[in-house]
Parts: sequence; C-alpha cells; structure tokens
Amino acid sequence: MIAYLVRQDLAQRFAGNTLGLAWAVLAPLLQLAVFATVFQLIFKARVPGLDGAGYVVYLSLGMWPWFALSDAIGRGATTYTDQAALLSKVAIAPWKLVAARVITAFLLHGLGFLVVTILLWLFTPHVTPAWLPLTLPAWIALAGIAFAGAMWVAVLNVFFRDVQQIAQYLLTAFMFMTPILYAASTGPEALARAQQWNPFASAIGGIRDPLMGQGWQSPWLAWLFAVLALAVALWSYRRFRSSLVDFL
Amino acid sequence: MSAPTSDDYLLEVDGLAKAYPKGSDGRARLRAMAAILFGRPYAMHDCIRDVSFRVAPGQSLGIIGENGAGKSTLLKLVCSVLQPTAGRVLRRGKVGALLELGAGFDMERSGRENIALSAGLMGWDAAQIRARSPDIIAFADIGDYIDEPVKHYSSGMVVRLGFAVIAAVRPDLLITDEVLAVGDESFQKKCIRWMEDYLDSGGTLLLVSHSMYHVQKLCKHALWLKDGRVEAYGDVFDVTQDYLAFHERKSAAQIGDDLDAAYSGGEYRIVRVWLDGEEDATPRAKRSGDGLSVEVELYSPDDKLPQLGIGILRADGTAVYGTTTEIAAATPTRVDARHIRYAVRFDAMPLLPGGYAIKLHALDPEGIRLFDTVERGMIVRGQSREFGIAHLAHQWQ
Repeated sequence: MIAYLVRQDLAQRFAGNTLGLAWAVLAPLLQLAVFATVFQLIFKARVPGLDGAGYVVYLSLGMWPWFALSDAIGRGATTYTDQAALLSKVAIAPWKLVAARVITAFLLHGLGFLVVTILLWLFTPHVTPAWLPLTLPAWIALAGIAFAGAMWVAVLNVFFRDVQQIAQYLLTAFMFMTPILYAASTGPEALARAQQWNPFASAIGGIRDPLMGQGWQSPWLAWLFAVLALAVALWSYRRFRSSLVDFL
Repeated sequence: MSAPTSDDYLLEVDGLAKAYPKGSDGRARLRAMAAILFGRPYAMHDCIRDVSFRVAPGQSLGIIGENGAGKSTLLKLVCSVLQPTAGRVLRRGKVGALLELGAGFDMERSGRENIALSAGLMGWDAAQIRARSPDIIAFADIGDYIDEPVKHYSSGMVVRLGFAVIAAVRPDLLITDEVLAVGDESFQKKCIRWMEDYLDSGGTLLLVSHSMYHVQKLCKHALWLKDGRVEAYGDVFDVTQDYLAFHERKSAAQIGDDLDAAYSGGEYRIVRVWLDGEEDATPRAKRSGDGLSVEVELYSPDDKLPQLGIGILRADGTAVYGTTTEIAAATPTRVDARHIRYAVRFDAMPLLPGGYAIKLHALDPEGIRLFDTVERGMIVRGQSREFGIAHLAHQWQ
C-alpha cells in the first residue's frame, strides 16, 4: 500500500510537467550549477582549508540531505489537510500517507544526492565514493527524524493551520544552526562545542564527512534523537488517531 | 443446528457510538487539541449511540432513516473511515465501500487514471488493474468521457465509474450509500441486476437508501436509525412498513392538529373503545386480509341516542372507507341511562401493508354534527410489494 501511495505521490508531484520525472535528475543538476557559480565566482569559501571547488563539495554533500529532511517535513505537514477528501471517504491508515510523502522526498533528494556526488567525484578531487555505504546509518537516522517531524506537524496542522508556516521558519532556523553552509570550527568556541549536541549536525556530518575523506564518526546522537522523536510521534499519533478525521 | 458463533458473522457491531466535536473556530479546535493530548473530554455532540447489529455472510441489511439520522456516519464507522467514540466494529473478509459520490477519486485526473487510483486503494497491483480495466470501462459505459478529467463528469457518470470499480473488485462485504439514487433508470437497473447476482452468489450487502422499493427488493433485513439510535431492526418488510407509517403519521400530524381542536368540548363523547376486544390504545398489528371488530361506548348527557361514525384511513390521512350508524341504521345496546354501545365487525380487509388509522366520531342523533373524535392505530404487515391501499382481486390472463 505504501509503495502504491509513493507512486501516486511521485506522479502527483510531476503531474502537468512536460519533462515529468526527468526533473528528478535535472533539478539537482541546475541547483548544483547555481551553487558552483555563486560560491566559486562570487562568494569566497567559508571553510578553512577548502578552495572554491572544495567548498561547493562541502556545501552540496550537506545540503542535499537537508533538502530531503526539509522537503519531507514541509510536505508532510500538509498531508492530512491536503488529503482530507480521501481520508474522510476511504478507509486508509493516515500515517501511511505521511510515510509516503517522506519516502518520496527521500527518494527524490536521495537520487539528487547520488547524481551530485557522482558529478563532484568526477570533476573534483574532494570526494571518496568508497565511503558511500557508510553514510547509510546517518541517512536512516535522518529519515527517522523526518518521519517523526512530519507526523507531529501533520497532526498539529489539522487543529492549527498556522503550524505549516511555523514549521518552515523553524526548518530554516535549524538549517542555519547546523554546520551546512559553514564549518563548526569557523564560529566561536562555544558554538563549536554546542554542535556536539546538535542531532542534525550529527546526521549531516555522518553523511558528508566520510565522503570528504574526513573519517567516519558514529551518528549516535542522530539515532538517539530519531528514536525519541519517533516514540513521541507514535504516542501522539495514537492519541489523535480516533478523532483525526473528525477535525478535517 | 448449533447456535451461530461469532466467527459466523462477517460484520459485528456492538454498542457503537460516535460523537463529533462541537464548534470549528480556531479556539475550539485548539482547546480540543489540548484536551485530546491530555486525554480529557471536550465539547462534542452525539451523532449515533448504542447501535448493535450483526451481518452473517450472504445476508443483506438495509439501513433506513431520515436525513441526519446518522446513516452515513454509521457506514463510515463500519468501514473504519471514522473511528468510534465507544463500542466496536469487527469485520472479517474484504470490505468494499462506495460511500459518497467520487470517494477516492482525483477530480483533476481522467476516469481511466481514477480506475487505477481507486482499485489501487483497494489493494490491486498494477497487473490486476491493467487486466481488469477494460471490464470496468465497459460496465461504467460512459463512452469517450473515460479519458476526460473526472471534474467534467456529471454526478451520474461519477457514480457509474465508482460502481464499476467496486463491481470488479467484488468484495465479501459491499457497503453502499445512496448509490442507486444518482444513476439514471438504465444504470439503476444494471446495478440492481448486478447486486442481485452478487447476493445470489453469496455476497453480503449493507445498503443505505431512501427508496423502500430498493431496500425491500435487495435486503432481507433492515435497520431503522432514528436520531442516532436503532428504532427498529429485523425483517425488512416489518421495519420498512413501520418507517413508512411513521412518515405518513408525521405528515398527517400537521393537518390533524387543526382538525382535532374543532372536535373537542362536545356534549356527546366517546368514553371507551375496544379493538378485537382489547381496550389498550397501542396500534393493532394485523396481516393483510385479517378482520377487525370494533366496539365503542358513547356518553350521552340526555336520553337521546348519539350516532357513531367510523373511518379507516391510511396513516397519511387518505380515506379508505367510512360509514356511520345512521347510514347503516345500526342500533346500539344500552349500558345504563347515560351510556350506549355500538359494535361492528369488518371481515377480511384486503389492505396492503402499511400504517392505518381508525377514526371514531361521536355524532348527534341526526348523524350530522360532530362532537368527539378518538383515533386508534393499526399496522398491517406483510411481504407484498404491490402498490396502493387495498388489494383488488384480479387474475392475470
């Protein structure tokens, strides 16, 4: 059933586009071209020890996992409200609709991540693709966090439609709090120390750092946060399940 | 034969209740959210209460009731689109539901895509959908519209498509809500033929309809839902006839109130009434062709003999038959100085099933002025699907 919903969601996302699913590959290429142009020609690198190309690699390998997280929560937020007609007429477990949107986001941006990683590996000396399998635990933790976040926001959004706006701002804030555009070491000492307790930094680092040949660090913090977040999401879902459709 | 165990039922509904949240403004929703989160009660209004019934495989149950009685809510609970506030629903086997117009359809997409969409929601894989689509399209019979977006469809075409999908899925338990009311005559007939065939081959049906004709034709049992509670549940003819009688009384009540006011306060009065020797005022239960005996005691303030008028009416007020003791030159028996009694017996009454009223009037000795009226109810039961008030003897040549 979820596989079916994922196919439907993919079809819906690209419905009406002439190029259809080709956008899944085309969009990351265009995005990467923008990054490369802006950060090599206009802005100077912000990570010590990395030249322009190195910075584009650093940025991209952190940015695509974040795209996946942010897209999953952003689109997950409106799952129930978007699908109100379906939920109030067809017997379907609501969480499956959220799961489908999260999976779609991770499939699309995961594909983008692969495309970008391969390109950067071919054209820069900064990527060691042999480490790719080791990024899997961090990806799974990130997906867990994304699913839990989407489940919370989706339920809250049923009662309080402003939640989807708030979630977008929170996501942007979290992105700037996490070393994606900059390295943790560039900021003040206290900030660098605080990053040890940032689960997003743990997940993003667990994906980016091994690929850039900076060794593998266990993303345990991301995992811990994912498990806790999922537990809370499950608990609140159970609470709201029986009255969810009544409020749509 | 052993008593049926719970495994014999395809559907069991026990003490089912559903309440909807009150108010839909932002603050009410926030309060409700907090209450749910902390497991506390919040403002709700009852929609259905304490509904229980069982459906065995091969049975067919019609659900009837006025608008807003909770029929659609009940169906949504049964196929777990909604979750109950109390009670439980147990289902065995594959359930297919056609709840509302275009349920599960994406209005922006073509009919062909929507077949795949709703069949997919019912658990078909891509190969099954490809293999069965031509049959579904043939059954829906909407021509070139199949490749148009569903938003361009008429409501009849939407229902055709929805029914065609469900017919192809052929669930163990089919749940439909007012489907037959939307299609045109020929599609209705097609649906009914399909449903009869489905029932003959062991299918189980839960049908909501305002057409007693369809309910009687397709269902063996019926459940009458009134203000969210079960008013009657049992044999389809008994329940639908009670339901129709209720409606006839309801429309007659508005006229009746005005008339009764004019009758009251007379000198000649009806003091006691016996129907078939019973004095209680509950409606008499009859079968088509039964007889009826009526005995009435009248009070007279003087020693004159008042006349008695008697009328039999359909519960909606349509007169069936009426006569008076003056017309028939009947003589009363005297009970005492102030009381007299008339007795009359109707032999076989060929009344068709439905609700009836027996009106008794105290008239002056000339049989002209009306002084008092007493009404009693009578329900004629039966399995007939003929139309009208009375059975007229006939032979088909």
